[in-house]
Amino acid sequence: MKRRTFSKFGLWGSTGALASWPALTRAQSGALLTPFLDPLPLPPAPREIEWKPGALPFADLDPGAKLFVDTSQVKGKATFYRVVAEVRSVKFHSQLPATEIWGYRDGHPAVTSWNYALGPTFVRNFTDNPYGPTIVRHVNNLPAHSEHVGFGEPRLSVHLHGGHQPARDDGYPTDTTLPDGTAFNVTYDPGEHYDYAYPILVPGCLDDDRAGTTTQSLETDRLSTAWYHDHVIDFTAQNVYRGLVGFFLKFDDPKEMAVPHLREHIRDVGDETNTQGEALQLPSGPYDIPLVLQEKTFDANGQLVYDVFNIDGFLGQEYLVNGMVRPYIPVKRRKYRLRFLNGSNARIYQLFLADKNGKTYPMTQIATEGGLLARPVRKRPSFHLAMAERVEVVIDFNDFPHPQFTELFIENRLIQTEGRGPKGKYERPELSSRGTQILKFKLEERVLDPSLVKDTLRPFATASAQDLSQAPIRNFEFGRGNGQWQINGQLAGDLSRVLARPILGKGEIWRLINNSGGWWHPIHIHHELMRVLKRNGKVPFDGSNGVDFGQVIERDGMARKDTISLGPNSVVEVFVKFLDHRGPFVLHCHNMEHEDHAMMVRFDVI
Amino acid sequence: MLSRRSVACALALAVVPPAQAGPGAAARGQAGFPNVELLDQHGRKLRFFDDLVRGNHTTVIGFIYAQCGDICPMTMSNLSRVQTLLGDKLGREVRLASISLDPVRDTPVIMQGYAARFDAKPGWQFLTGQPKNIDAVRRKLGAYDRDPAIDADKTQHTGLLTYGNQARARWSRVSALADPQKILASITRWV
Repeated sequence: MKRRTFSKFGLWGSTGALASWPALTRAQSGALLTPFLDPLPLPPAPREIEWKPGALPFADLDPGAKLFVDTSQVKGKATFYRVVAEVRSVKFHSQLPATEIWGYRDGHPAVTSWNYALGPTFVRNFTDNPYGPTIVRHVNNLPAHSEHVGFGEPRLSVHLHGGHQPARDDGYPTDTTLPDGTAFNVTYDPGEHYDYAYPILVPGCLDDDRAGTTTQSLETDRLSTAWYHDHVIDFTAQNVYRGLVGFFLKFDDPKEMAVPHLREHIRDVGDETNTQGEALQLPSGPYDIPLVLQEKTFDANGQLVYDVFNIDGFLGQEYLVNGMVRPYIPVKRRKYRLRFLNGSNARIYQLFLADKNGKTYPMTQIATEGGLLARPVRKRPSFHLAMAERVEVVIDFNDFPHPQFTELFIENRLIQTEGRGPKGKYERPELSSRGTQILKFKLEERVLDPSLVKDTLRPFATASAQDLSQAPIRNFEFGRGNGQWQINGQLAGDLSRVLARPILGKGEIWRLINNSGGWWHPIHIHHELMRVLKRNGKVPFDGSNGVDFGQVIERDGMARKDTISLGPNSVVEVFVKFLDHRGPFVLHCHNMEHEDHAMMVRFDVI
Repeated sequence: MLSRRSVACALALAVVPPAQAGPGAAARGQAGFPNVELLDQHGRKLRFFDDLVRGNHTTVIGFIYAQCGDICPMTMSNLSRVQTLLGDKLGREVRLASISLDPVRDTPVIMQGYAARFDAKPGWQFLTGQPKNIDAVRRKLGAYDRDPAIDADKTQHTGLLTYGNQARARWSRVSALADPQKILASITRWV
């Protein structure tokens, strides 16, 4: 059978895992699952838990989280949520029986059912008030260690990926003891909970004693699409694959337009009708849609299949968007903001907007995982999306008139048959002429569209020449030896070893080096956004230099990044400056099997 | 477990993958583990799945070979320390198995001598056998490389310990070079 036929069924992508592949599953006959039968799930926001001054919703709130809470509400009001990790059954496709998953749900007492695979979609505003945090109590209702049978580990630690939060709130993967001897216990077992404080302040807003100094704050560092997922050591891939994933979207607070020094930064207010100040009027509300791309394999009973012995990277047999196999979404003929997140364990995508005949149409990119670009890049033919990367685009469906167009598709054309990565190089990916349609847009009527994509989105200064000239350079060379991941020639994964101690407020240049031929490694640095200086010795793509073949827009001044797609034999040089929150953080490969196979480094901000 | 026929749409797949059950079924059957015959350091025959993997205990499997001069002495000394740390859990809640990647040369007699070098106690088995059987085990556990040149280099498969409790269908891996306490914490997590 030729590749093209395979790809038609969405199958060829799984063959790479064959040597240890589960198999004759229902999903392997991908044609059985008819695409585009089911609507795209859009989990709602969690419900806020109301509270009155002096009466915290959680009387036993952890002191670490309480640091940001003013119980009297005089200095500010914390917003509380409760999220439960639980076993539940969901339908991933109308032709599949219900599948048992581990999922997050809104744990507000008034919410009685949660029929989504994903957890609730948080929608929160940036604030300049340290006493206005978002507090999430994460409750672990998974089966006890002694009761659970199957892959996955019911010990949890939640990483808000794209958050800028203290070390204790960052989902550090394991319990440890800090250099000063204090216990750093951040995982929680079945029956336990953990209180996370998400201040949602821009970087530099706090000093580490949280007294507050705004001298260095980076008001432009406001990323827009974050997500939360389990991050426990050695089992992230298994737990995320089981379903522990949700979105966390961040906006600017329109009320802060009244604050003079913030006014110019209040742009992405989540309201396309707001014409005040610098508000961008990007498509909002029902026209702003987060989309997480994942893959799963189902057995004949519709249950999840995972290969615990595949350490190259697990490729599933079915493409899912927001926890539904190849769904559809009805769209009006107007502009939409689509936020793509690669939540797959090991698949990298090259995404096109295509009609049913495979003719492709350009999209306007407005953001990466580092937030809005300085300016939009219009007419992008496609875009690359490695694990954990986010790309936001605006598509104007009014460009597709009735009756010629009734439907459009998001199509993945990157050829990838094994977990180590796709075919080709970063600079020259191997694409198929027709890929797999993973999401269908059903075009409906034309409606009024007040939204805009202005020529300036969120401009920001590049890392300064002074910062760069003073920055020490560190190399992180990702290699492989004895069948294991190495970093700088040493065995990776020993989190008792601190590989770097960046100093608060002092920038550094980190060179991310991948010399292990054939392997792709999307490298995620926790806590602070990266400014990409060079890729393989060249100025990185920014949408205006070079040919746009759908590579990552990553150049400093245009974009910021929290994950770098490192193709085989690549070096990417980034500038990082940690502005607040001392403590242990990690950087790691976001191929989740590589991550669990100890491809992780600890760094302590000091 | 599914039989091939039970899938209605038997596509003409280019490659038919080996069968393996899902997470639930894995606990019950052989779950795709090769039940091949191996020999321990005393020359006794045993079956990989039935005698090593099956049951409610943690099996820790590493690959070694007696002539491996580079990494194996380090990983084996490390395992020897883990053995001590395990105390009376060894052989009961946790079983250690070091499997030869050089089975033609590593006869049971050689393996017995190798075991003695590291003061292996009962509960830590040194296994050899027919190359095809060992290869089947190695491939099942993911201790192989898709690049044939790298795969042919035995030292590439000597760094990892794969551990699991098959009654609970739970598996993970830890570096054989990691701190012995870290190894201990990993392999006793399901005890």
